[in-house]
Amino acid sequence: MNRTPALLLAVLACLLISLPSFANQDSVVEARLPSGKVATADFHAGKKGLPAVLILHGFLQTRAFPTIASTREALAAAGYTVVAPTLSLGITDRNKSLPCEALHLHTLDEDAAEIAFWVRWLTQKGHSHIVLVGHSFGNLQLLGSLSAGPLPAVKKLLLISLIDVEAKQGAQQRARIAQALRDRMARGDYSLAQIEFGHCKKFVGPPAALLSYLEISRAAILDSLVKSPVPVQVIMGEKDDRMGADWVDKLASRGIAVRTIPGASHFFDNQYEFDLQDAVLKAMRER
Amino acid sequence: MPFPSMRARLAPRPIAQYALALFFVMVATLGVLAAFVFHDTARLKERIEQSDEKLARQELNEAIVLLTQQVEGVAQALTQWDEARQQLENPVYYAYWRNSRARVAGVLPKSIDAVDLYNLEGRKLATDNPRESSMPAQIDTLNIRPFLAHENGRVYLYFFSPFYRDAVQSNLIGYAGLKLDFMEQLIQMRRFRYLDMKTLKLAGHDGASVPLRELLPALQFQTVDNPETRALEAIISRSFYEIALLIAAISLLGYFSLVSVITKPLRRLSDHIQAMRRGKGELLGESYRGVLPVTELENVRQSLNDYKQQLDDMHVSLADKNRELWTLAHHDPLTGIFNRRAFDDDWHAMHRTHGNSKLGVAFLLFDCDHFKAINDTYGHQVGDQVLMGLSESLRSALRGGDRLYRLGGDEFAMVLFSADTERAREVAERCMEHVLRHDFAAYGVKEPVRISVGISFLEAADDDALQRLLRQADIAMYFAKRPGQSKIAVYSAEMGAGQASLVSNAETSAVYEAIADPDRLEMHYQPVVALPSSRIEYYEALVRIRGEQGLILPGSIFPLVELRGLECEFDLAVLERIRRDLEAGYIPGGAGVSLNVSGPGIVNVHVIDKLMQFAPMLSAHKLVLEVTETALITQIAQASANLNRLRKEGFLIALDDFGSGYSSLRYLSSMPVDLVKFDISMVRSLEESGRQALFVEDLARMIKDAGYQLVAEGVESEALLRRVTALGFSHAQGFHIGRPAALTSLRTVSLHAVS
Repeated sequence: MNRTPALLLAVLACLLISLPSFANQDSVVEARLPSGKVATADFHAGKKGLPAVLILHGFLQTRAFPTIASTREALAAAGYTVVAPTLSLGITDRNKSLPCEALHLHTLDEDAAEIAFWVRWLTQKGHSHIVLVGHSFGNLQLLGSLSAGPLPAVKKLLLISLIDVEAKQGAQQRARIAQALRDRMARGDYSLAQIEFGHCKKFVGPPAALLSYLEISRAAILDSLVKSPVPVQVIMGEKDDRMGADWVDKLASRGIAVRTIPGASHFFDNQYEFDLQDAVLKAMRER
Repeated sequence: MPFPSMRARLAPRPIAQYALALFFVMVATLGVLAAFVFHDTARLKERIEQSDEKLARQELNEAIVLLTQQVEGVAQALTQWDEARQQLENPVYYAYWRNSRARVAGVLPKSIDAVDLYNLEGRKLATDNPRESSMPAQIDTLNIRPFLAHENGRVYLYFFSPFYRDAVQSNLIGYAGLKLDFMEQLIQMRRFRYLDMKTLKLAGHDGASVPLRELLPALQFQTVDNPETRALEAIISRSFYEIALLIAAISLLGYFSLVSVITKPLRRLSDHIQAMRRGKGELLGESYRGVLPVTELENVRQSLNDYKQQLDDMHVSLADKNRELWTLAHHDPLTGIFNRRAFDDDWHAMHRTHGNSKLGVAFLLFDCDHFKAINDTYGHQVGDQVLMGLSESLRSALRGGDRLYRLGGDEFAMVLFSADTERAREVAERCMEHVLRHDFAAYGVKEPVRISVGISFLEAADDDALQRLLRQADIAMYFAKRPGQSKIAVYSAEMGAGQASLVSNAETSAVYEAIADPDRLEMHYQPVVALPSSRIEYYEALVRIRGEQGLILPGSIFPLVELRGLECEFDLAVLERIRRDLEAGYIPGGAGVSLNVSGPGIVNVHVIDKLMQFAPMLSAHKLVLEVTETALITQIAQASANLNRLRKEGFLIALDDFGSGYSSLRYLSSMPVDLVKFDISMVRSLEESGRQALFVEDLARMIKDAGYQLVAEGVESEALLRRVTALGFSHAQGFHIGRPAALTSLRTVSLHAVS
């Protein structure tokens, strides 16, 4: 009995000793983007020798999204250097999810450029082995950034719940909407347009901005995956309702490594969070 | 009480006034109470109103603060809103955002009527139609304090907030402006307990603005009608009215109760007492319950009734006592006849009735002869019986309407109105007969009881004539009692003259002076001759007083002496005068002197001592002491002792005026008497032939046979002298023998030399 207090005291001491180290490793990074906007990201400095991870949230979300936050923490806990930015989406210091009804003045290209900024930021930090991890539509923005230009530090692409853009809106529908936007632009009408986009029933923005997202098709995604300069691994939830029933097969048929976690939803909530973390860490360990 | 006016104000008042005063006092008290209650209620209400206003203002202030905080919160949410920040950085589609997105995003509450973003210069991001936005196009970045403005009858709050890019507020990127209907929001924000929002308004006209910090003083409002105040006021009023009603009811009840229970009975008691004072009080009538409701008043009523009853009884008793007292006061307790007081009252009543009418009034004064001797002889009880017998016999002699009065002692009197002296005399004689007929022997009195009557008469009975009548009757009585008188004497002027000395100051002074100085006395000596030799054996010393207007005779002297009780003093003076005469040798040698001594004198030690001074003269003069039989009987034991002593010294004792008064042979035998001087009346009766002469003869013979020497007084004729001589009288005295003469003309020759 007399040993218990001493043991507890020892554990407490260890924790106290370790806390400053933890505190020093996590920080919120604020960076001014080339666009002039200010973006922020959570940064965890991990162990040397391990790849750095840039983990990106879903469409219109922030890094605080639970799927991203828990995966980031798991990666940080595993020792990886992790940076989890919140895409500005054209808003300085954006820190909240952007509603569908908001004015979406941002474009896919701007998103991709911002991701590239963060990759370069990691590179400037000395990280030459960067794994891009994305969730949902964020995966498309990661693919966009890879497509926009070379990012030699990026060594791997890990896509969680890769979205099937044509799960909700068919290709034709999307094409029709896109055409309408083009027609407006052709008319010189650059006023705000409201479209149905993905899960957004009301997606408002300038035609050009809307088009940048509408022009992403399933085929384009598959094509980008095949043409990825880095290995791509996809982690899907079996119960993901934002994909077509054949989406996984389509991915697999293209030689994309897909790992399906049974029972998990698009967001890998509940106990599937840990399955996701395991899958991510496992994927990180894989070459 | 020092203040007369206060005393006057506190004079007795009817109890009804007090009851009414009490009633009005209670009403006035109620009024004062009401005034206080209303005043206090008003003050309380005012305080509550002030408190309510203060609370309302406080409420309003709190609401303003809260609303301001809410607006600040909204402004902060706006400035923290990514989309708003987006517009400040890229206001291309600001108008759409402001008009559409900003209102529906859920960041701004519906209470915000308008929102706008302003660049760093304070210029609205969108220049637009004022109908689209009522926010000011330009704001003063140096003064972005919120303000309120009147617009179209409404009051709007314009709130501006600096817009920072970051949470640490280090990078200002613009301004946010909000507009809301301030009053509306105040109303909707909370329920005001004290503030009547309907009355809330901002001072000023349309278009005027008030900084938010100056809002509170600029707001006008009224407080909500405090239901608790109203309720409290209602409760107080109701309570007051209830209390007032209760007090009024109690006052009325108390007033009527007071009137019924106390005032009316007291008034009845007061009326009863007033009636009693006027002497017309009846017993208090009883109330419908038979008694007065208040115990104390009932006690008073019963006490009054009892007192009245006692008073009535006392009146009856007093009346009876008065009658009894009057009877006692006006009647002689012994005889039952009227007394002196009744006599005086009747006299005055007669005078009041008849006034100054000329009514002849005769006053008869009856006096029992020798009553004192009878009283002393037989005792007071027999004496009282004698008086009652006299009263009875006198009353029997009077008519029914005549009143007999006992004036005192053995004096009786009666008054005859419209009568003359003749009638008075007839009445007197009838009375004497009745007295003579009365059997006084039944009382044990062996001697005849006779009366003397003095009659006085006045032509008109003045009120002050009573004393005159009394005095005249008394004088007449005195004459009636004198030896030889007829026992009935009617007053005459001559009698008055003779008795003038009784009221004569000069004669009174002469008597007193004589007593003080015996030389003022002038003794006249009347010879007493021995029979049958007619040799002057001794002289009877008879006193006179030389007054300013001549000699004052015994007829004037002795009544005065007797009246003033100066018998002993006068005896002493006379004896001294005689002693001086004897010492001076004025009395011829061998001749004796008879000294008259009064009844009181014979038992007086000083008189006896004075007589003893004569003892040395006994060898030269024969000294005879003459005492009346009345004097002897008065204090017979002492008198006898003194006479025995004097006889031993050599004095001769002569019983004077034998037969003129109470002649008791039984006493004569026991008296130390040597000589018996027959009274003038008895001697003169010898000149008559009749029973009385025979009686005197037998008496003289008996007394002579008893060994006494007889002296005959009042011998005024030779025949009488011979008569008495024949009867065996040893001495004789009278005008026939010799008149009393002063020493200077004292006769010393024998009877035959008398001319």
